[in-house]
Amino acid sequence: MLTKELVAASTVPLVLSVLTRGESYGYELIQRVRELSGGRIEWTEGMLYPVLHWMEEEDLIEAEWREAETGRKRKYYRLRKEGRKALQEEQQQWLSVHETLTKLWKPQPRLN
Amino acid sequence: METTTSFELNQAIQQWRENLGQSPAFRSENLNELESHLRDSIATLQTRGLSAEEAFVVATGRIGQGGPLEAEFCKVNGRAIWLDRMLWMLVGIQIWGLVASLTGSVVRNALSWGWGSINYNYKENGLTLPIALFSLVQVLVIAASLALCWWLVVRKGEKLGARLTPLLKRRSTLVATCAGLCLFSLIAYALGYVMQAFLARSLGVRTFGSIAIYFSYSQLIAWPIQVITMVILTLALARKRLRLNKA
Repeated sequence: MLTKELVAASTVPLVLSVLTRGESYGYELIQRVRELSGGRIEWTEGMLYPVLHWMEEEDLIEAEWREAETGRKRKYYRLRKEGRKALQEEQQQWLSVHETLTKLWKPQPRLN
Repeated sequence: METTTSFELNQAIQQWRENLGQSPAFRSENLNELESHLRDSIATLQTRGLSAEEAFVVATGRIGQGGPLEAEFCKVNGRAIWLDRMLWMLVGIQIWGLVASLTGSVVRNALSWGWGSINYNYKENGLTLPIALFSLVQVLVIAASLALCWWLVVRKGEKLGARLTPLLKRRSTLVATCAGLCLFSLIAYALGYVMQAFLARSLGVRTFGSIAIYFSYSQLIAWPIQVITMVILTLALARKRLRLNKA
C-alpha cells in the first residue's frame, strides 16, 4: 500500500497515463490502476473525482456525459493536448526519481 | 433462495445520495457522477455473488466517508460553496428582518391601543412606569423574535431548506416566491402603518403623542440591548463553529 502522500502525488500522472490509451470514466480508471498495480495502489474511490475535476479545470482533460451500454449516463474523460504535455513533464520527473533511487539501491562496493 | 428482505437498492442509493447532498460541497453533477460510480461498483460486486445489500455496503465503503470526501470536494467547489453560504446568510438576515419588524409592529400597535385605553397622565404620575413597561415589552419582543428565528432555523431549517431549494431551482417559481414574499411584507407593513394612523385618530393626538414619547425613550434602552445581544450571539456561534471545525 502506498502512503497518503505518494497516492496524492501519483494520482495525476496515473490518470494521465491511463487516458493515453483512450477515453475512460472514473470507475474504470480505478479498476485499471488497481489491476495494473496488482492491487498495490488502492484509492479511496470517491477521492478520485475531485482530482478529475481539478484536472478538467486545468484543461489537462476534457469530459462529456454520455449514455453507456448499461443505459445509464456516465461521464467520460479524454486527454487534451495540455494533458499530454503535462504527462511528459511528469514522466521525466518520476523517471529521474526512479533512476536516482535505483542507482542508490544498487549493491556497490563501498568507497571507504 | 428468494427471501423477502426489506432492503430496496434504489431507495438505499437515493438515501445515500441525499445524505451527501446535504453538504454544499457537492454539486448535483458531482452527485450524479458518484452515483454512477456507486451503481457500477454495486453491479460488479453483484456479479461476484454478493447480495444487493452486501454490495451496497461494500461499494459505499470503497467510495469513502462523507467527511473526508466533503473536504476534498470543498477544495474544487470553493466558489459554489461561498455562493451557497452567502445565499443562506441573506436568507437569514431577511427572515430576521421580517420576523423582528412584524412582531415589533404588531406589539407596538397593541401596546399603544392598550395603553391609550387607560387614562394615564405622565405629567402627574411620571415617565418611569410607562418607559419601564415599554422597554420591557420591547426587550421581550426581541427575545421572542430571536427565539422564533432560532426555532425556524434550527428546528425547521432542514424542512424549510428542502422546501426552498426546489423553489429556487426554476426561474418561474423563484420569481413567484420573491413576488409573494414582497407582496406579503408590503401588505403587512401597510397594515401596520394604517393601524398607527387609525390609533392616532381614535386615541387623540395628545395620548398618541405621549405614547410616542414613551416609545422613543424605551428604544434608548431596548436598542442597545438588541445590538449587544446580536453581537454576543454572533460571537457564541462563531466560537461553536470553530470548535466544530477542530473536532
